[in-house]
Amino acid sequence: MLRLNRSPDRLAKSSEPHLQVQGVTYCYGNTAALTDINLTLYPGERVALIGPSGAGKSTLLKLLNGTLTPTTGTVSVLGVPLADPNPRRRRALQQQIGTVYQQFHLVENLRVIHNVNAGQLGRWPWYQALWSLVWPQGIETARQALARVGLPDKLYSRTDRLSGGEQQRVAIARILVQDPAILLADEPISNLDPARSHEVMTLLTHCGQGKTLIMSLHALEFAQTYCERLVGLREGKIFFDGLVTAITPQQITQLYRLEP
Amino acid sequence: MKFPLPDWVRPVGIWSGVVLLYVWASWGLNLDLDLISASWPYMVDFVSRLFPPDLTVLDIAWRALIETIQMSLWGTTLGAVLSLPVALASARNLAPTWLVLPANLLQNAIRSVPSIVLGLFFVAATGLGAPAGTLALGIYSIGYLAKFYQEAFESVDARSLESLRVTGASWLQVAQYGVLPQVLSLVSGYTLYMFEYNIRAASVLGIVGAGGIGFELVNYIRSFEYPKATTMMLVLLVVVTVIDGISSRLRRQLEK
Repeated sequence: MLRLNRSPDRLAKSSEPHLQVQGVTYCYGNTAALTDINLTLYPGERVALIGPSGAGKSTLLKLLNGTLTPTTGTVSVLGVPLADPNPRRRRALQQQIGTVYQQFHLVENLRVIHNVNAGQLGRWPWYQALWSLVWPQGIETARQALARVGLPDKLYSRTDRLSGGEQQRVAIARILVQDPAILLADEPISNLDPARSHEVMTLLTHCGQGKTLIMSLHALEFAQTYCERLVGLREGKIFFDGLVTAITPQQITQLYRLEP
Repeated sequence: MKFPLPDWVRPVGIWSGVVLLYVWASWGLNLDLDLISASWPYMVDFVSRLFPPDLTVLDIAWRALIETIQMSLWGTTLGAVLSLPVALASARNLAPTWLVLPANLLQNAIRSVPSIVLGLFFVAATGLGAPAGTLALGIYSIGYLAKFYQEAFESVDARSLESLRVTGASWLQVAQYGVLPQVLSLVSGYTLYMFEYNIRAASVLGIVGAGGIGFELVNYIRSFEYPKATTMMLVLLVVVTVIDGISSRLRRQLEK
């Protein structure tokens, strides 16, 4: 394994890491999807997770947002272990992590405003959330978020009537409303054409300003354009981790090579 | 080592199995073709005595019918309300595993009790009349609605639930924003269908004295006043057809 510029110098080393992965192994049954992963992300970093299919990129992101719990090792968010047995505290932590998915994962037969308002669920009590389905709450916040992603007039459209690119922007508007410290994106552009991909990437990096951004990407040129740090995953292990400028083409070729 | 069977073995095996199953089932029926042909005149006689319908009892039919609809409305609503928690507890994707098995067992237990037995039970408890029928319909509906609801819950897109959960939403909020909108039209459709079905079921419950049009129907048949019974059945036919039309239109609206 190659380690280059593990934590970039220009990012203040004194600041607390936003995300810390320590000795994490994750197994599906008897097969290890990830082995001994160590990763530290500092505030404001933009990190691309790259690597061949099946390398464990999605699994790593699921561990980072608490969908999965590591078999061994710990994931800490803002200095606090994510695997908190107290559901209330765990949810408060999850509120600090926003996730954008490849397939958007929106509730398709809800109106756009409710999908955007889902970003408020960590803050709203259940009765306010329920009432909002009848009488939408937080309209102004939702409208502003939609305006920022370029969909100001879709507030009351049915989500499944929108195109793929528009749905991905609704998912980003949800994240804007959630306003987390950390932004995860799992293949956010692999279902979009190149023009829409650039739009979404610009939005993600814009919205992610001041936030820590980590996204898995298949398209290397997007990773190199929009991110400053590359983490290469291969067969469940970190293959390299360093600044975009420090990763050589040979390392990239090695990362994606077919034979073991 | 497995050796390959010729292609024809599987279909021939399956079809022989099906034929054997039907032969076996026919043993239980004691089919007697002579008896069936000899019984024709009795059937014709029974049907001919049903006509013409005696419309003088139309007002009685109406009143009984309204009672049947009222029973069905409350019975279905009661069943729907009770089915929701049972279905939630039975859904594999929403409930913890230790709850799924007992909840499914409860559903099966309710489903295996015939409506008429429930009718007898509640007639014994609350006396003859509509309250017994309503309660019987309510419990009877759980057996079916809980199953329908459970299947609707299980067909919910798991990925959209996950994306809500990771925002820090609670279980209840995931249910509100993820499950409810995705099942609402299916669940309302099933409930409407159950309401329709219960109008017919309510007429059967009349046999054990649990109120409604079935009660009048059975009384007329018992006292050999067949033309009057025919009126009851005709009124029921009209109402079932009308309600079927309305509810299928409503269900189509819901699916949009």
